[in-house]
Amino acid sequence: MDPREKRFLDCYESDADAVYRHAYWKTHDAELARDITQESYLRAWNALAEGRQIENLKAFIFRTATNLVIDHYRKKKPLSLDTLAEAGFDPGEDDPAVLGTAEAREALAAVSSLEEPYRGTLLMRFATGLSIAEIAAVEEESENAISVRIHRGLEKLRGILKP
Amino acid sequence: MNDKLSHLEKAAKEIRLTSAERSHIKMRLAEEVRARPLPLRGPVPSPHQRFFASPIFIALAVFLMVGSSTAFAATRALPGDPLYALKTDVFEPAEAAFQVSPTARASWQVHLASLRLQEAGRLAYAGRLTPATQATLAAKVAISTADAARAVTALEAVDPEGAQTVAVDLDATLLGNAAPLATLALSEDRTAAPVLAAALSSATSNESVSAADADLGAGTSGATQAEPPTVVSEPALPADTGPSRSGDAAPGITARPHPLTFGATLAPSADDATGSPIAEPGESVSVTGAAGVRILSVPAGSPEGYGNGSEIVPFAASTSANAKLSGGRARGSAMTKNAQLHATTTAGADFNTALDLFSRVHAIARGE
Repeated sequence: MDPREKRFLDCYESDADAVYRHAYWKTHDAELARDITQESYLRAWNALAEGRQIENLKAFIFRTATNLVIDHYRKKKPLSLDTLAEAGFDPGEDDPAVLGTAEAREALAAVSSLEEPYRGTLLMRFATGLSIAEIAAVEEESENAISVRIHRGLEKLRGILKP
Repeated sequence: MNDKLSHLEKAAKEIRLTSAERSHIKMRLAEEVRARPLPLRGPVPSPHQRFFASPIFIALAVFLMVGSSTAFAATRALPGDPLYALKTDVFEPAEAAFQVSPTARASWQVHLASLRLQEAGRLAYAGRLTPATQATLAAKVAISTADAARAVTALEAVDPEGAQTVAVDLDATLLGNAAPLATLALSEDRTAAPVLAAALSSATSNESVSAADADLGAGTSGATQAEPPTVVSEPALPADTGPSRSGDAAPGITARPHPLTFGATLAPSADDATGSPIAEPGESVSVTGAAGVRILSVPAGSPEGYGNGSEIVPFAASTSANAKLSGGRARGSAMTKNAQLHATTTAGADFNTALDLFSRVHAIARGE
């Protein structure tokens, strides 16, 4: 096997769950999240097969997943992206996250109530489990900017969770 | 809050693909990988290799190569060369900006004066000393030597010891380059001439007399040998600038032919004065004979110091002396207004100021 093929499949093994979670927090639809995960990897491979240079495969796949979520909602409802985001990030009653503890559910609800970009960044950090460097790569921002964003997001979260 | 977030992190980890889903997707990917193999290519270049192959690096390398070779070529440029302006107007001022301390600045001025004089020597040796390059260099040497002298006198106030060292350097530079200096003093740039003459007389009035002086001294004293009107001199090489070589010490030496033929514009020797087309009868010249030659010839035993009587003064004694020295080209035409302005602003010193400066430098050099 071509070492590049092996690297690609290894990347799937190590990151597939995170990509799935990433899609899941944006759709709250387990089936859709699974399809988006598969499609993200397929698109990444096709891009490589077309000879495209991909500096950071993991970040590329996460960005593809985000775009697929947006595409999905764009096709589904003729709504603005802001409205989509508002609708998309509300955890439903049948959310698998409700399987967790009451504290976890409270934290998820609090994070989901934040405005962008704090919501997306904190979800990636605490719900998807990406590092600051990985979030910076996905968002195409500096690590410093992401750190500041997380710090400010946590400040806002503290105001929500305290009472 | 952190507690709740860690609960979230823990609960979120439970959200993942089932093993069946993972396998299914993996099989689908494996199919795709087989169906669409990656294009063949060489090994992935390392970041270093990529940097060396990047257009930025190539552009930088070309710039550095062209830049450094141009800079190197420019340092060798002589007046009249295309790169000479780059050397004197770009590189030297840039380097000057790094001379921070007053001592460094003064040393730098001396270095510049030395460079200009060496260029004159090289030009003359290459037979490229045209009136134009001569005038260009004369102006530059006048400015740099006057600046150097000024820097030395300024330095003395703050660092007498450093000033003395630099003054000795300036002295040695002027003395070691007496021949080119004299050549330039005879240039058509009359504004520079007084300053150069002052520098020259200041340098040659030292106790040390260069070999060129000795040769010329002998040449003039033996002028009865009917030397041709062109008096030539050997350039004063630094190695020959030993102390106390006087004209008397070398009575048999005659002036030897050399590319530095500034004698062409000089008056012939005193014995030929009657036949000279320059020293016209009735012209009020305070000195007689080979004024220009005598500038260089300080007879042994003459009192040290500048301006000692008729031996050294002629360059500056009067405009007629200037006219005489310039072979009649500037006869009677004193400096024009512009030229005077140039002399006092650009060259920075008229003759007296320059002479004061150089005599002061001498005093410093001698530790007075």
